[in-house]
Amino acid sequence: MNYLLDTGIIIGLLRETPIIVEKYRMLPQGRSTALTVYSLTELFEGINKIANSDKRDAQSKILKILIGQFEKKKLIFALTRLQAEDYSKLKIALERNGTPIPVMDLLIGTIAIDKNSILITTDQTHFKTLKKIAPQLNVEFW
Amino acid sequence: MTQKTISLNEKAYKQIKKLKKKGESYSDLVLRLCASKDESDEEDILLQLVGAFKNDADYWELVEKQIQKSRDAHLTEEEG
Repeated sequence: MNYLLDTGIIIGLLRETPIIVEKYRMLPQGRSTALTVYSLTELFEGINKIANSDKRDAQSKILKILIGQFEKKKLIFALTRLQAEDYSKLKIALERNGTPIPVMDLLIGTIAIDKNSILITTDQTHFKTLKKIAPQLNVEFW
Repeated sequence: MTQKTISLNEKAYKQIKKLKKKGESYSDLVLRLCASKDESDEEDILLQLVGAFKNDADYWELVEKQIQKSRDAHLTEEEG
């Protein structure tokens, strides 16, 4: 089973949010979990805003270790050329429905759909909206 | 070695029987499954890094909120 983790889930694991850690541990054995570069931009932004340079460097190292492991397994995704077309179709459908969602959510959602991954997120509102337009989106809300 | 008896319901028994290799005992099977679970957890860097930002949990809670705000501020535009 393939899972795609949204930023809030990664942060929840790193800062040890009990419910997120518990649910993560319950994921099936043999699973594959992936990230997107879009989540990485948000995580790096969080790190680079840390005022204390020692702390910033330490957390940056941790994030780079995490990224390195996911890169080894080729499990960091960004929108491909073909997914770009799907993204635009979904964007237009959402707009025509009068229910636009954040660009970041649509990028991540498009990848989850194309990769046939189960998206795990803490953001119920926007991904529920996307699922109405794209019922093929598999999403779990933690 | 001391033996312990455990009971399984019919469904669980059928499932575990399917996993048993020829010549493998149920004890060996359980040990193999546990080892493979440990190995899979070991390979999961996220599990290894659980709590790595725990000392700054409050800061990262704030970051999460800021991310949500930032995402909300960049909605796909409505058609003109």
